[in-house]
Amino acid sequence: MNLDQLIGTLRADPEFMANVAHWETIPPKPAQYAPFPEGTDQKLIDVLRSRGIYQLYSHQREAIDLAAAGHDVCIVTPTASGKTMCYNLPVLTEIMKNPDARALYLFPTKALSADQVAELYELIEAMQIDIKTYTYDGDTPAAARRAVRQAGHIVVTNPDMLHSGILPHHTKWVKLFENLKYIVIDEIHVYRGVFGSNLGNVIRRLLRLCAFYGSNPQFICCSATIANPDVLAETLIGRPVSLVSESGAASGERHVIFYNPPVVNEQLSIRRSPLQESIMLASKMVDNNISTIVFAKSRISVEVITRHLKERVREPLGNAGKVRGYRGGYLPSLRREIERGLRAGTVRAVVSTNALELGIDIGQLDVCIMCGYPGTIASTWQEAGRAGRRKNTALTILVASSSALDQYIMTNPAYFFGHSPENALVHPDNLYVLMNHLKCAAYELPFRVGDKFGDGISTGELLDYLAEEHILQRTDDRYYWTAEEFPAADLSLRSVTSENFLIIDISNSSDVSTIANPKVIGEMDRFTAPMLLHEHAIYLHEGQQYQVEKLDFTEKKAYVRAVDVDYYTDADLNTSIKVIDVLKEQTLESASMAFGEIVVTWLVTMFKKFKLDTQESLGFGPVDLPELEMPTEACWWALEPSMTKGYSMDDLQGGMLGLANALREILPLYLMCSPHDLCVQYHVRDPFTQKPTIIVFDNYAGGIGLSEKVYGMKTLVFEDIASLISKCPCESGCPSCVGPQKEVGSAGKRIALELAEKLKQL
Amino acid sequence: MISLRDKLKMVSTSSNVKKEEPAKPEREPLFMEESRVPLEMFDGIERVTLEEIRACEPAFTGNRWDLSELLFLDTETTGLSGGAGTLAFEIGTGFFEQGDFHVRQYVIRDYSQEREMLEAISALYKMHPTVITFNGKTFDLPLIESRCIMNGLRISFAACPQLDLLHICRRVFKLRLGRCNLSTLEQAVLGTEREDDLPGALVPQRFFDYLRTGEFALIRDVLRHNYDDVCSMPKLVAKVAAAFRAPETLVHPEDIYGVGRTLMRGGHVQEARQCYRILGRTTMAGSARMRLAESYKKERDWAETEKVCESMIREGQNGSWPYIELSKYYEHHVRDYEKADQMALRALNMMLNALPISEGAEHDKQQAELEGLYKRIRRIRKKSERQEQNGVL
Repeated sequence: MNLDQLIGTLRADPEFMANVAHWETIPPKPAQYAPFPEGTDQKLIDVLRSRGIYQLYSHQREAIDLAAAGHDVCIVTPTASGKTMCYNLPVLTEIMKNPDARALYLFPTKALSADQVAELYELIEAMQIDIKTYTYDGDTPAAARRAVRQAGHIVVTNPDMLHSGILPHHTKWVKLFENLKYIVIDEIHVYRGVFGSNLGNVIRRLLRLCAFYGSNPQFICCSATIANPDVLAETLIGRPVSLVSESGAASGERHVIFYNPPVVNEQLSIRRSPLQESIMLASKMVDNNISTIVFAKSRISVEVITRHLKERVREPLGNAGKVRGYRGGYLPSLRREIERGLRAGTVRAVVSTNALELGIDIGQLDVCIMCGYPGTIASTWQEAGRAGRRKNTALTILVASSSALDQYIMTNPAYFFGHSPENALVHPDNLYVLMNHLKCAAYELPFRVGDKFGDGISTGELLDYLAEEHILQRTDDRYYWTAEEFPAADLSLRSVTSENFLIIDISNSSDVSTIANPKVIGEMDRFTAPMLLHEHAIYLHEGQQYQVEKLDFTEKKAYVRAVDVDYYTDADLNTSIKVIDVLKEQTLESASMAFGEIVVTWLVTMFKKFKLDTQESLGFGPVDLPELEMPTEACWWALEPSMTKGYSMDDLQGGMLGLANALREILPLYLMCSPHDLCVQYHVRDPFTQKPTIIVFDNYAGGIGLSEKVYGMKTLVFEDIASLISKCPCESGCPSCVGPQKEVGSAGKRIALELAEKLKQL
Repeated sequence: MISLRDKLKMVSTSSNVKKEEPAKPEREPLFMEESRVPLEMFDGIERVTLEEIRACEPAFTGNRWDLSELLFLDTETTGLSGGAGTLAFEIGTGFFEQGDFHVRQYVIRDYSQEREMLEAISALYKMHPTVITFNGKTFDLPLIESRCIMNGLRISFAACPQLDLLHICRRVFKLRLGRCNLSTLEQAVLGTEREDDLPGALVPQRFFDYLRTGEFALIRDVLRHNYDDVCSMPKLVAKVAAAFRAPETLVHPEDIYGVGRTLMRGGHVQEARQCYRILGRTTMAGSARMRLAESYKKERDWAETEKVCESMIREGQNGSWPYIELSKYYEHHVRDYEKADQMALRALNMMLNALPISEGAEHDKQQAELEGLYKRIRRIRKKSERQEQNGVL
């Protein structure tokens, strides 16, 4: 069966259709073309023609015209719509006109830059012109670096390298800084949260140096579909941009199916596992040899689905290479191999975390299955964009879990299709982030009294502070760097990548002390490692189970051994919160609300074992690891005794847990952020407020402005929570509202609803 | 509510404790101090010729060597990171004028004086355009260039010939001394010893402390350290030039060997061979002979190559190496396959007698050598057979 036939049989299958909550058919769209702009170099036009490109898409032309008119441009277009042309054409045109001109390309990862540069190389080579394009990153050999600095017309790099390898050594890049005409930032939607806040400051530093060297470069930014690409771009570069959002690329017919697994327990409103349903649906595709990508939300689900699908396609000789897993933690070489297989078509199905959301070139597939709502409209469209060639039909199936957010989407498809995707939030003025970059900037070039850093940030008090700390020295009207340290070295833009743990397979040795043929099979960031790599944890890698034998926290190494067991492990995370400063507060009638700064401490204390197929608990074990700390921002509601009067301690506990669970699900809809961006905690007796308290905090060091928004909404959110709980058909709690009764207790749902009703009236 | 300052303290990672500090005195102008040292103190630097310098440094591009054009230069910096936030707060220079060596040192009293100091250096450079440093090529000179850019000045040291003593000294003394830092060289080559020298690692903090306290005594130790550095450089030039002038006067065979290799690199073949021959009866004899044989081989002087190899065999030097070389010689040039085979077999014998190393890179290298040798022997025998057949026909 081909895909069109398969879609036909699905439509005719009553069992399948019974679970379809919504079936959206998006009609095909023909391409909108525009001619090459006048004055485009004939060589360039000839080369493009020889590659079958006779004209531009309308959005490409629009972007090129805007750039030519001197605007900073932000282009937001779907996958595979030829966005690289939007920046390559203006850049090449400029350099051909003026061979001294320089351009800087920024991609979020090394892999992405390698992909995009390959395309640019081909173009330049075919044109037989002398435009030197170099990648400058950690892999660039020392001997080649000099040539890149001196002669590179187009320097391709990533924010991390720009931050620590280029800006602090700007005097070696005089040619680049003096002649910089274009700065291209691709995939800007990736730069949200801490990464984006850091990048915004790196750009401030970059522009400061450009001003010093007398250049005034233009920006061309590209983004996948998000609600606020222009706002994001403007925050990152600190200047207004012209937005190009109307894609002229053709697209085939697209089917989006919302699939809600059948209810297996009416009372508890428990549905069949989305994992099982995704496996069932993906198997249909794999059996028909239809190229498919399955997105799962956790590393564990990726491994479980991969294992099942591999069984499905295993040849008599045991080869199951047609199905591959893909996620962070796999080594780069393995990932490149899988990407190549996908492009070549030898890999027919790939199971991935959102690691493949990024623009890594894997060609286009036919079907996209999402095991659980990805959490945001933007991510959903990005993942869906992985399926669909230009003219062919594409199918996306969203398999819902029982969580409140997923169920909300299933019952409100209009929210999904009618709403614009989420905002990407960045907060470059976050004090924590700002101070770090101010130091780097001061190292790079002395500040003058009255200098601004970015738009509107006056530096006086901050610089005086650094002078007091003997990091800067003020002489006359300037602040000079006066320390031995190299500030960029201590600052990671991504906050997690710099301290990865290595995962080492020691299956071939008898114990850790005598390791024979150790093999590094993967890596993991330091915040996740305690959860998944504690001793005795079962770690899954490409479908193979490993048991962690030893976790060396100081050396950042986990030693694992291949095993074959019928259970998986799940660690318990203990979170504690210390309030540092209350910035805003207001007292309402029977509750008070505050916004402020906190320090969160995480500690993994124990893990549980669950049987693979039935998920039944098989016992637990202790974990002994150091705790991790993070300063951030939070918003909290403290309940006065008048509100909690009459509840027993247990009842109150259940009610607050229910309320916290519902908040966790609903808040992302309000804030248009990913559920991962926020954490919700509750204390029946909070050590700071001394009262029952519900706390929402930003899941990023220093905060990214989410909690402040929550504070600004007062108690508005409780209106929706009250309606969510009251409308839920379950008896006394289910995963779609306040959480299962087992967790919140028999009175949990009722009390949560009562509390929400009281809160919303304040 | 807490103040911005308290908040800054919380996010800051440094734990500097604020101390009461003395009031800073009135700002003084850029510090400059000059002293003269008589020419006699420099081990005969006035006798050094352009030819000797070219022999020392084959890459030297100058076509003149004039004492009055030399500028010795050494900086003291606020760190080693080499980024835009590191600067030279002290620049020490040395030049010959009116029969004396002048040591002129600049220290900035605060950051705003950097430009003035760099301009002074730039002026000195115009008058004395041959810059001589110790590790300046990779450190001091790029740093000064970078600082000039930061101050809106442009200076390019690449425009004129320059000499980096570190590179020269490494080639000559590394084999004997291992480390080639300035103080090691002073001890081992110049025979001088510093007293109470300020360790380089403490230099940046001295400057930061000076900026805070205005206590110039903190800088005095740095100036003395830098003064010694500047004065050692011309002495080293004289010593090294003398070594190239008369290698036979050197005491250490390793140094003579180093001179020989440098000469060879500069194309001074006869002089280099002379160095290797001097080493005939020393601990360096084996290596020297190998280099000697190589030099003849390169010129296709087979007779001399054979002679040197034979002498190695006589003295039992360099293991199987001379046998293999002779085997090649007999095989490819004399076409005496019997002799070639003989030599290869003797080489094989030597190799097998040598203690086998059981693992690691050395082991792999041995194995590769052995295999190469087997291959050589098989090839020689095949050629030999063919020759016999041809002879019969």
